Amino acid sequence: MTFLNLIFIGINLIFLIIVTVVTLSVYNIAKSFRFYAHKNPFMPKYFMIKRLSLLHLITIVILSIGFTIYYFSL
Amino acid sequence: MNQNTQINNPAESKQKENVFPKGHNCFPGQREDEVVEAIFMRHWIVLFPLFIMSLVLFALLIGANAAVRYLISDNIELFQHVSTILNFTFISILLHFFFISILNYYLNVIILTNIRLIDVKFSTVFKRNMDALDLHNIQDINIIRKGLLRWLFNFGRIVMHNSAGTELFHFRYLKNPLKNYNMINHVHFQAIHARQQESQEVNKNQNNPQQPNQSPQHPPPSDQH
Repeated sequence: MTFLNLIFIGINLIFLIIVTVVTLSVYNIAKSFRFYAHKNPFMPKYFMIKRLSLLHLITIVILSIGFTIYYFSL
Repeated sequence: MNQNTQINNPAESKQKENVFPKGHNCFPGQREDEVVEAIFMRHWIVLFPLFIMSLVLFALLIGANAAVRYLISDNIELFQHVSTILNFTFISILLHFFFISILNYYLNVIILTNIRLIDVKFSTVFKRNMDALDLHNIQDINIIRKGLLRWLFNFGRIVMHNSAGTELFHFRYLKNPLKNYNMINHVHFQAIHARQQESQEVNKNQNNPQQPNQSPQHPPPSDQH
């Protein structure tokens, strides 16, 4: 079980690192392309890429926490 | 007067919200005299296959879980641990793929400025490609909208050609193609008109180089000594 635990934690960490890098990259893009972070007619307020990337991060973090709790309760 | 201003204020504020950011740093590589006129993006229909595929993959995952649980009856503890890891990996990859595709959809845009058209392409979040086309190089703009779906959901293609008939830009699945076509045509006409005026002024200055310096208040000095 220890080996499986290590694999699970490793996969968890890899996904969390990927999602953090993606979020930071999107924030960087929104900084250089100002219209992405600006209210404008082509992009609705709730679909701005900053919010989307934040939603991506939150979803993966919640999923990770949920699966970790479930995994260690087995 | 006060009532009028109160009535006008919400509209003005709404109008202010819908204006593109001004200045020289709206996007990387923007020129000093360049103004963003419009931004076009693809229709949401391009995301439809992604939604269907995600749903199918999720259904397959549930089916596979149920089938494996039915087949394996002994050593259930190990199975639960392994299946949790596999489920977590699968769902995480699916979610990543889903979100990155939506992000790419919003990041891939076409920027129309008073000088050029810029096609910004993000194949992933980390890979960026920008193609720019000078508006003066465009000779012909075509709008193509074939098929029932394109008419129902109001999307289509816009193709641009140069004077030799070579295809310069090809925008697929463009939202509101007619409106965007009119906008591009309008800005294209304005750009050509502005350049013609500039060239006429340059020609005038070249033909009469002393004219701009002459003014009625300061006559040229006479030869009297």
